[in-house]
Parts: sequence; C-alpha cells; structure tokens
Amino acid sequence: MIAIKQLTHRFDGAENLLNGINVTVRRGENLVIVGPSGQGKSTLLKILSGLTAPHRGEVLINGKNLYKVSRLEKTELMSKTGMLFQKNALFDSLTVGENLAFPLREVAKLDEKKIAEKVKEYLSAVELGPAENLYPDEISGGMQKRLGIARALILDPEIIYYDDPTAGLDPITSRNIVELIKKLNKKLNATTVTITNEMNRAYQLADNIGVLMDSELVITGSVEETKTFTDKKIQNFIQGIPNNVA
Amino acid sequence: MFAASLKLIDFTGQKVLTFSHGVNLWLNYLSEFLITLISTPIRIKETIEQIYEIGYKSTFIILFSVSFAASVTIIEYSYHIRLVIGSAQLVPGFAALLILRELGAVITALLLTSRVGAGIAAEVGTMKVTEQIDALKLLNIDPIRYLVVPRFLATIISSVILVIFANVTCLFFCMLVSSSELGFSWQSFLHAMNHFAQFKDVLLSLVKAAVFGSVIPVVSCFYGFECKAGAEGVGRATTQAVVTNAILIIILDFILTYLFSFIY
Repeated sequence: MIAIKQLTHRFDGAENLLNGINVTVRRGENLVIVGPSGQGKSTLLKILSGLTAPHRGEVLINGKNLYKVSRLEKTELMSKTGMLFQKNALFDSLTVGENLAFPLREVAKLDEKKIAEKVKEYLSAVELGPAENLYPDEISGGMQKRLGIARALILDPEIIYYDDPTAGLDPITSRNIVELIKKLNKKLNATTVTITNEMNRAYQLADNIGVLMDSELVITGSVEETKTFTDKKIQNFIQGIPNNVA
Repeated sequence: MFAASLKLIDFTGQKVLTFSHGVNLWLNYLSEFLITLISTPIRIKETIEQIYEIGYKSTFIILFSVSFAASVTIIEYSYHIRLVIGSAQLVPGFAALLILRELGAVITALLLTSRVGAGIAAEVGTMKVTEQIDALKLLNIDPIRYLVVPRFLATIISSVILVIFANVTCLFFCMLVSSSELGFSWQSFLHAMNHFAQFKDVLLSLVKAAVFGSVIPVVSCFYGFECKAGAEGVGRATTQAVVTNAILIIILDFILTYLFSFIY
C-alpha cells in the first residue's frame, strides 16, 4: 500500500509545485494521475519512487516512511518498486537483451542460466524477441517503451510507477501499450500509479483517477465518477476545454 | 543612489549564495566519492573496460601529439642555447629534463582532458538528462560506484602508462631531431642527456601523471551529474568539465613542481 500525507514540494526559490497532497493507493489498485503539463506529475512520481526527497510530508510504503527509514530499509523498499520513466531511461550502451539482464545480474544476482531464461520470457511477453541483440537507438519508440516496461517489471515488483507510458506514441501503439501494461499488472497483481495526459488511456487503465492541478491532487474516483465529476475546472480539463471558454 | 546600492547588495548576495551552493555541491560529491572509493568493492570488469576506452583508445592521439611537441622543444632549445652559449652540447640534457619533468605529463593530461574528460562529462550528462542515472538509483546501484570509481581508477592507470609511453616517444623524437639537425649521434645524445636527467625525474613525472589522472574523471563526472536538461545542458557540462580540468591541471602542475623542487 502507498500513502502520501501532507506532501509539499518546491524547487529552490520557486512557489510550491505540490501543496499538501494526501492520497492512499490500496494494494493491487491502479491509480492514474492526470493533469496539465508542468503541474508536477513527474516530480510526484519521483518522490513516490524514492528518487527525490520532498520538502515536507510523508511517503509511506507498506506503512514505512520512505524518507525516514534507514538506508538499508529504503533500499529494501525501493527494491520492491519498478518504474517506467518518461524517456524510458534505457541504458544506451547495452543491447535490448542486456538492458533486461542488467537488473537481474546486478540486483537479483541470479545465475546466468536463470537470467537468460527470464530475459527470454520477458522479451516474448513484450514481443521483442527478434530485437534482443539490437541497441535501444536501433528500435522504434513503441519498442523502446515496451522494453522500458519489461525492464520495470523484470524484478517482479509489488509497486510499479508509469511516467507517461504513451507519450509520443501513435494512438494504436499507445492503446497496445496500455493493454500490455494492464495484462502485466494483472499477472503481477501489482499496485500501480500511472501518469498520463490522455484521458482515454486513463479510462482504459484506472481503478481510480486523480487530477493534479494548481499544486493540488483531487481524487475524482472511478472512471464513471470522474466522467460526472462536478468541478468545472476539472471537467474542462477532462473534456479538453480551455478554462477561459465559457 | 540608494536603489543602486540595494541592487549591488542584491547582486553580491546572489553571487555569494550561488558560490556557496556550488561549494556545497562539490563537498557533498567529493565526500560521497571518497566514502564510496574506500568502502565498496571495486567493479573490476567496468574498470578494465574503461582502461581500454580511456587508455588504449587515447594512445595514438597522445603519442602523435607529443612527438611534435618534443620536436618543437628541441628545435627551440637548440636555437636559444646556441644563441647564448654558442654550443648545442647542453641541448639534450635540458630538453630531456623539460620532457620528463613537464611536457610528458602535462601534455598527456591536457590531451586526456580534451578527449576523455569531455567524453566522460558528455556521457554522464546524457545519462542524467535521459534519466539513466535515476534508473540506476532505482535499481539501488550507486552511480558513483558504478560510473565514477571505475573511471577514476582507469584514468589513473591509463595516465601513468601513457606518460611512460609519451616520455619515451618524446625522447625518441628529440634524438631523431638532434641527430638530423644538431649532429648528435644517438649514443652522444643519451650520454649528454644522462648528465642532467635522473631516474627520480621519471618517477616524479609518473606521480604527476597519477595526480592529473585522478582529477579528470572526478571533475568530469561531477559536471555530468549536475548537467541541466537538453543538448545545451550537456554541451555546457562538457565545456565546464574541460575548462575546469585544464585549469586544475595547470595549478596542480605548479604546486607539484614547487614541491618536487625540494627533491630535485
């Protein structure tokens, strides 16, 4: 379970980017956060994943404050986490296969036979088998995204963060990526937090939806609840209507 | 007048804050680096790969460049020494001293800065802006242990070996120019050189090589880690790394030469 309590964050010398955010994500739940660009969605995800310490507030993973526990405990909590980065963050000096083998070798410390088996299994799950020996810059954007997803999941994490998994992809590829994410999430029974700007993808993925706007996160509820949410500003965003239009 | 004074105070205050922030970043980074260097096992595979990248791949460019520097040195020396004392007898000795005490180590370090330092800053900077550093952290892989320490050890080892090769190449080209331009036989060149240059000059040049080699990756990785987003950010990090390395090498050369002057 993930719980955020009174989380506030700002960059040096700037106003609060995130202000008093509270949210709980239950085990196995898929929370999708939407919101206009530049509102701190990716920053929130980095705080959740343990990469950026917040100015104030708590991030509780299974009841433990991620930023107050010992280094060893933080390492343990982070080892239960997988993340798909906005720019995929693939290691460009490693091949597709090596990108997947890297966490297994470095973190899970598996033997080479097991690594090869698991790499094959995940490459086939994301349909990248034939690209195993290519480098990330030799494959398409959609394939890079699928590789990023496979790497995020290869250590069987309990919690997965997806930072804009369909950014820059055409509608069909992005629909396929979301279907793939749903399938793999179900397989792992993972708790997930996903960030996206595309409402259709959010509806496709979410158990619950939150809208991050004006430094605050409003949980609008399930897909149906979100579609009928009464706040005008949020409705405008959801329907893609600029706020200055009556 | 009052407004201008306030502006000046504001400007000075901002500069002081920026400077102290920079110093703070450096101190944090250096302390983390030293703790990691001392307390964690060395990643041998990555270190060997880096020796190949840094040392082996720099060999040709360094030897090519120092051979010209050595030739220029001996031509200049012969001209001035002959002008002053009317004899070229002292040229091999002086040239050898300059090569062993200064040229070999400094030119090698400056060339390593431009080739390796720039490369490391650009590589780490690109990893930063493409979130690869974050991906490492999320996998609980310490970027300092994974990226900085292997490059640090590899650059020291490569630098020492390259300076040995550079010194030998410089002396070889000095002999070549001396024999064709000054009429020294190879034996007479070595004989004249031995009057001045000693084994400790060679050893101290290797100490310089190790010190210069230790600076380049540490500085370059720092600017890579602090790289701002975009191509401009990577470009700026690379430039800052090269300039800082070059300045540090020149300052360290002065300090080491001064300290070694008590040993020479």
